[in-house]
Order: sequence, then structure tokens, then C-alpha cells
Amino acid sequence: MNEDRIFAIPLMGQSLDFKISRLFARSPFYLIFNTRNHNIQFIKNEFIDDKIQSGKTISKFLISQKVNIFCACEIGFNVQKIAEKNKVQLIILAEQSEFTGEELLNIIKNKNNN
Amino acid sequence: MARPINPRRVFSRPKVKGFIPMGFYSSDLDTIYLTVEEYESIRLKDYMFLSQLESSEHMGISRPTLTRIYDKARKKIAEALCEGKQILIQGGNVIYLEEWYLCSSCGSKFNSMNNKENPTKCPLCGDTKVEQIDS
Ligand SMILES: [Zn+2]
Repeated sequence: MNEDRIFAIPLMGQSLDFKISRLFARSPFYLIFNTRNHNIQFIKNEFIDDKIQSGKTISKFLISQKVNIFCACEIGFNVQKIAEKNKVQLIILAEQSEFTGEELLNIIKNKNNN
Repeated sequence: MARPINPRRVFSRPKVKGFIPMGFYSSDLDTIYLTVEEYESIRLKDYMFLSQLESSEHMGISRPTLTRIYDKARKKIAEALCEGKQILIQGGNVIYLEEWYLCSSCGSKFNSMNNKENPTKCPLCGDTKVEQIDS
């Protein structure tokens, strides 16, 4: 695979110690992780208060940041629609997942040799 | 001789196999068979709000063919709604652009798009214990 694999993971705060947010579009922050160079970036969700369009706007914004994998506990229809149109892969975590950013990152890092 | 029809592109399997009517006048004996491409035409036009042109491009068919499939789908759904018939979504000549998989190691579900072959490992944990989810 030539293309970088860049994850967007919804996070409750701006550090790896925070837990994953259960709602993708309404997450306060996103952890962006590139599996090729292991670069990490935190993005604040500026669209969280947009009651109607938040799913669409944040998805489009993350895609503009070259994200091509959305990883979350729950993903709404609007996010799914945008993902489908832009060929973004979706990963839905197991129901009881309560990972911190660090724990989830370790899972991805340990086994994804890309 | 009729020309063979190329398979229509469908994004993913319908979430359910069909719908059952409820109430006094419902009749689960009568069945309307909606093909997967008919389902997809409704999904693209009435759920994704794509234009006629966009929908036909998504399915890899001409606009007139899309219109024909879509009209047929609407008529079938209307008949089921008004006459209390059950709908079964099955059959059709399609290829799926997206399939869903379950990783039995980490429990996550993931999709795979435009894949010629099944993914061999989980995109999250990397385990190879992945199986396709059928609707
Ligand atoms: Zn896994």
C-alpha cells in the first residue's frame, strides 16, 4: 500500500491519557495518527456546537487533513455518507471499548507494520 | 440474442433482508421481491440525495437504465406499502464495492472498499482472524 494510512480517533481531551469519545461527530478532540511515520497530532473539534451539520463538517474537515480511516465507537449516518463518498475506511470498535488514546495507539502501533 | 448485462455496482449489502407488514390487513404471504440494484437506486437517489447522473455513475450504468431500475423499485415499494405485502431484498446482478468484516481478536468491525480480495488482517490490531459479515 503506497498511500499513508491516517487514522482519526475521537478523544475526550487533548492528550493521549484521555479516553476515546463515544460519539464521533461530537467528540471534543481528534487524535490523528499516521501509521507510516508515527506522527501524532491533536485537532480540536470546532464544529461540536453545530447541532445539525457537525457530522458532515467535521468529517469533511478531517478528510481535508488527509485522514483516510475513521475509528470510533459509534458513527452517525452523516459521517458514514461523507466517508462513503470519499472512500474513507470505517472501523467500529467493540461495544465495551473504553480505551485511552495511548492504549488504542499501542494496539495500532504494535501490530500494524504497514 | 440478448446482450449479457454487466454487473451493477452496489456500495454495500443492504442492512436487512426485508420488511414485514404489521396489522390487520397485512399479509405476509404476498411478497414483493426487490432486487439489490433496485434497493441501491432508492438508496442513492432518495437517501443519499444524489442526482440521476451521480447515481448512474455510482452504479456504473447509463442514466436511462438507472431511471428504469429506480421507477421499478418505487412501484414495487408502493405496492408493498399500499397492499400490505412483505418486501424481500434479494437477487440482481451486482458487485459490492464495500463489504464489512469482524475481527474476532479485538472485536472491531471494519469496511473494505473497492477490494478485489478479502482483507487478510484487521486494520486496527493486525490480527488475521477476520470474517465477512453477511446481512
Ligand atoms: Zn482486530
